Amino acid sequence: MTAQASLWPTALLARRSVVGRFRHPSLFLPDVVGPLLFTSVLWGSFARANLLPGFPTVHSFLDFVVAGAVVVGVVFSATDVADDLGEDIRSGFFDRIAVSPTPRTAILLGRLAGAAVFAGFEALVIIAVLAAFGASVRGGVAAVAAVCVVAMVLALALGGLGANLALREGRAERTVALFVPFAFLLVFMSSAYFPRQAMDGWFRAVADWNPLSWIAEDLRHQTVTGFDLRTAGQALGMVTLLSALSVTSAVRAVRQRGRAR
Amino acid sequence: MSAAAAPAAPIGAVSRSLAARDLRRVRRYPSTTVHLLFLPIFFVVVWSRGFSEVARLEGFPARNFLDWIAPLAILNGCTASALICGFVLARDLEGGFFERLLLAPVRPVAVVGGALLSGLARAAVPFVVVTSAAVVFGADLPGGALGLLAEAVAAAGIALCAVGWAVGLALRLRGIRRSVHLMQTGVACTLYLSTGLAPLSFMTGWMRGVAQVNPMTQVLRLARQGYLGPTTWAQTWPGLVVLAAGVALLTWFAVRGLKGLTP
Repeated sequence: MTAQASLWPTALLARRSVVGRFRHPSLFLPDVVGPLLFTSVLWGSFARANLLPGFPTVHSFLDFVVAGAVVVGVVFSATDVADDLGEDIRSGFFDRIAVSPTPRTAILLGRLAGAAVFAGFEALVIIAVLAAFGASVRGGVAAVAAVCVVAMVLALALGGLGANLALREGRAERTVALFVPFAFLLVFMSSAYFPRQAMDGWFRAVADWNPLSWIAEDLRHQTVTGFDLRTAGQALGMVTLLSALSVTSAVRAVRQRGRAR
Repeated sequence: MSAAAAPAAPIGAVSRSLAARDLRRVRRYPSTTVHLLFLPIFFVVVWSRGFSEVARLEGFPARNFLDWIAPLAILNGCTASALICGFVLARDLEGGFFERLLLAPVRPVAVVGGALLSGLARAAVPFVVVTSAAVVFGADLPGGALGLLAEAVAAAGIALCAVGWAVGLALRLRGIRRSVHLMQTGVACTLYLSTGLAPLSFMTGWMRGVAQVNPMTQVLRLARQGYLGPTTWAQTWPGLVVLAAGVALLTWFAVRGLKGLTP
């Protein structure tokens, strides 16, 4: 099958993924409300944290956590990839696709593309709601667009990791049970919600090496300082590299699963 | 021929049997209990390091952030474990075990009693493990044994509340996928929209208003006092009142849900 011919089923399966999510408010609302609620709890609890010595200069703690909220939103979206793909395997949809003339990778890429679209939408909603509550986005429309694009590619990277797990585990519950703790560790051992300057010891070392710290800080630069093409490009380059690695590995897992059956 | 109604089995015996059945599952699948320990231990280790600087802000009532966050982590672990009783019941409803149970001469309150007993037993694991982890990672317990007892009472009470909530929802929504999000969201909102992360004096806006009226704030005060200083009756009784009311109300919620299912 040519690449062009395999694009159509991928697009259809991506559409299925997005429509399926928006059709059930009980599925997409927690993904949007969860990060917002969590961020507002942190903001309400640690509003004075920006007064700490060494804390980056920000107008308010809310300005600081906008990027973190977007990253958590992407994590929720990536968790859905793991959950949905696990459910596709459990319900037999994956096997039905495998015996049809559709390439096996279409179901994976469709799910990932759906997650990327949803992550972009989620980032936009999160920024809009937090801005309505007083967060300032100094970079304006360009910064919002940069954050949304990076969020979409980051969804591919994290979704690829979730898909890897789902394809190896084959059960939605187990996949989510393994992926959620991993994703939470990745987010909270980074500077997504608290600056690296306020960390020390082994925790600081982990945050220094965590790629999510670099991505969150580049996103924060767009919203707190202003739009900067170099920083945006840096974040985009990082997430593109991560997604290339995780999606390639997930594609290999799909093929292995297909061969094993 | 008229069939005489069989006498109902003793409530205590049925509750114990149902709890033992549920706890056998814990022994058979230990991973389901172990992975529930991740989040509270994560709080103890990661949050206490990541947000440690917050304790340096003027007016923060704890010596370090770990002392402040440990009780939240423990209550979080206990409620997460107790919620499993609701998931198990929802699975039993889907699998048909519940219909067979209702055909037996069993009083509804005995079924809820079984879930409450197993919820308490399940919550004991995170209580012991997370408290130990907190102490190992440097939490201070100046309140001593009395402080630990206050924390244990808070953990047991909150676990019973979580079981009542989860069982009541499972019986009304009759399906695990339908009820699981609501079970977790309800508990998470109650835990986090309180003084779980920061003291009231640090809060701003609506969060402060909500935390002030959230009964969980009193439960956390009860659980936390051993980490902050000596245990006092003034800090204890409001939490006990809240827990007694919560357990009564949510057990009633669960029993009423069961009555809707019985013919």
